Amino acid sequence: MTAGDEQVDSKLKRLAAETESLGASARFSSRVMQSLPSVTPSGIWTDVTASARWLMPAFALAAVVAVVWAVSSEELNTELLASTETAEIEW
Amino acid sequence: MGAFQSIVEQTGDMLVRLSARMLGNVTDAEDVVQEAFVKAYQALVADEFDGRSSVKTWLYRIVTNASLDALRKRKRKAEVGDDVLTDLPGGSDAAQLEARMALRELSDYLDGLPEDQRTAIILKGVEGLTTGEVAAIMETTEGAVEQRLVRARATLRSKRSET
Repeated sequence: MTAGDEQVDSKLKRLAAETESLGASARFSSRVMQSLPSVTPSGIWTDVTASARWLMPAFALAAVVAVVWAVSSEELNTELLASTETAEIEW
Repeated sequence: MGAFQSIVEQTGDMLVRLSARMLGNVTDAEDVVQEAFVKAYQALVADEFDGRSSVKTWLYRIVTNASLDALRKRKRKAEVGDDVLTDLPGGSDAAQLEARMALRELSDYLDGLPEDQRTAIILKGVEGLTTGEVAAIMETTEGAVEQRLVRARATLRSKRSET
């Protein structure tokens, strides 16, 4: 390191010392904390329930389709049963 | 949230001082560090902090990059350095005035250095970090940091001989 470099370094050290008293203002920490976005806790269960929320309409539709199918197949079964009973009488 | 508040309280002054030394202005530095803390918080919540460096080095890196972004934006607006002495929130006492005058002197002294040299010389020569810490913050090698420091000192020496 040359004498010129030492002069540069000593000037930087002086300026560092003279600016050492600078810092954040009194309310800086509370300002930062207020600016943080609200974040919900994460984890596997919160992820699962969050994903499940999007599937609820599909599940509801599937349930309606299942009920309609069950009712219609019940009617079909009744008809089939009736025809079977008839067959039994014939037998 | 409580743990993060403790980080903010412990590192706030140090990071605002670093950013102020880079920007030459405490008010802008507070805005930059506030944004940097929000980014850091989001990264921590998203589990993106890999722990390869210390929290201090990681925060230094975020604030250094955010300060460089702010400098670039300010250069585009051609507002460099004119508001340093009007930036006196609660700084009416002599010590604060002297500190802000020193900040202006530092800003003028380093003005004109390329941003990588300016960053290296602030982190090493003003913040007093080791070459290894500077390399970690700037995400480069110690050799590259040394090279930037040599170039920065050469520019500052020639500046001194001009004046």
